[in-house]
Amino acid sequence: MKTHKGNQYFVYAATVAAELHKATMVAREISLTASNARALALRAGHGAAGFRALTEFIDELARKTVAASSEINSEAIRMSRTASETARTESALKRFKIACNKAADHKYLPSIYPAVKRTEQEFKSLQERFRKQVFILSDRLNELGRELRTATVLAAMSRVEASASGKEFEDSLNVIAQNVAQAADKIQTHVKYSQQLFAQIAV
Amino acid sequence: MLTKKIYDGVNHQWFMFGRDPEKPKAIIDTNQYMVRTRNSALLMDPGGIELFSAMLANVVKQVPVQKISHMFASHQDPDIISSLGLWDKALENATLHAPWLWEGFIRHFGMENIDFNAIPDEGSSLTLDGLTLQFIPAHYLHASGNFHVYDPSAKVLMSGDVGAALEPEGAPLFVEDFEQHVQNMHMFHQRWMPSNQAKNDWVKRVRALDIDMMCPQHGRMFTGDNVLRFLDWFEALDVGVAIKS
Repeated sequence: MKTHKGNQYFVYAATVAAELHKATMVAREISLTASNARALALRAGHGAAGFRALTEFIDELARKTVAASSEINSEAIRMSRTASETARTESALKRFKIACNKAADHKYLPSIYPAVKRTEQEFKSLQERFRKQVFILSDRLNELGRELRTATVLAAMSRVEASASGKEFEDSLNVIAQNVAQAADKIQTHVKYSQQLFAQIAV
Repeated sequence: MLTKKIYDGVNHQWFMFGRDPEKPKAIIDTNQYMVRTRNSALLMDPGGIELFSAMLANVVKQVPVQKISHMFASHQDPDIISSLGLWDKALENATLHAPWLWEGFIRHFGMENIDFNAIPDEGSSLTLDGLTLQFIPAHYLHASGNFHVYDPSAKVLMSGDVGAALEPEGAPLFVEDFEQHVQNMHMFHQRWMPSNQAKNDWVKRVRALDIDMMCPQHGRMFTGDNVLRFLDWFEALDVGVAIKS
């Protein structure tokens, strides 16, 4: 099983897993930012009431993003394992077929056939499993991508609320808004790259 | 790949597989062995991934794969057993006998269906249709956990890397002129074998066996007086030389 560019599936699957691991790490940064936002909004008092309301959304976004990206990461690791197993089984099948050709007139050649049949069935079932995993993963990635669009809106609203909070806290709250936007942007980059890699997989 | 019947007894036979002309040039040439009894077969040091197709094709010339009930790995090296993951898909009910020391390493080659029988340091035996084969300790020759297979009935010793030689392609199957053959074995034994103590311990143990044929995993097989010549030569050889240079 190879991609359009001739690379083995399991290489792509492992790369996707690595990308999503990075996304999980960034998602944890949003979580930290959410805690900072809450603390700062409390200190800012009445002037930051609007911002305080937003911190709950930042918090929720952080929780959802961490959960989704780590689930997707685990799914990607499972997919990577399936892809490696598929490559191994395909290689075994290829070697069985070479053996069958070499042993064309050998007395006990038919004794190999059950093993060839078993391996063919295993290969088909692994391919099927891989296809399903790719489908699930693509779906989850698209979902995460949509979820992250909320971050852009949230960052914009945070900036508006930061400017309404008074001179003393405006800059700090703007930094938080900026952190949310940057983290979401980084995760989107990893998600988009993963989606591009998926596009290479010819299933 | 060439198949040579090296022992033809009433109830069992020994086969040697090797000298594959289609083998990729950069990999070391290896000899694989098989003992066939009425209902079973034991594959010894079945070889690396690259040789698997040729091996399987040659094996089914002699025996249906369903009868290969046992495999043996003298140690964990890739030229010995890296084909395990492929045999694992080919064999239905087989047990791999190998040094206990290497189980966790050998399983890296992939082993889901084949059972593992850990050979204890002192060695053990295997009985196939009434034929008893002995797993003789050969530790540190060269691997730290290492066994050879001795068949007292056929008087054949499968000696793993002991007696191995590095030769150009197409070398004869049997040692003819021992003195001349020494040049093919000298560096291999001095460099690969790490311990004089282990070597002498093995020589002492093997001198007590009745051997007509000694079959290494690389190079030529020894018959008749050449077996004794080899033991004398090996005993006198200083091994583990890299550490001294």
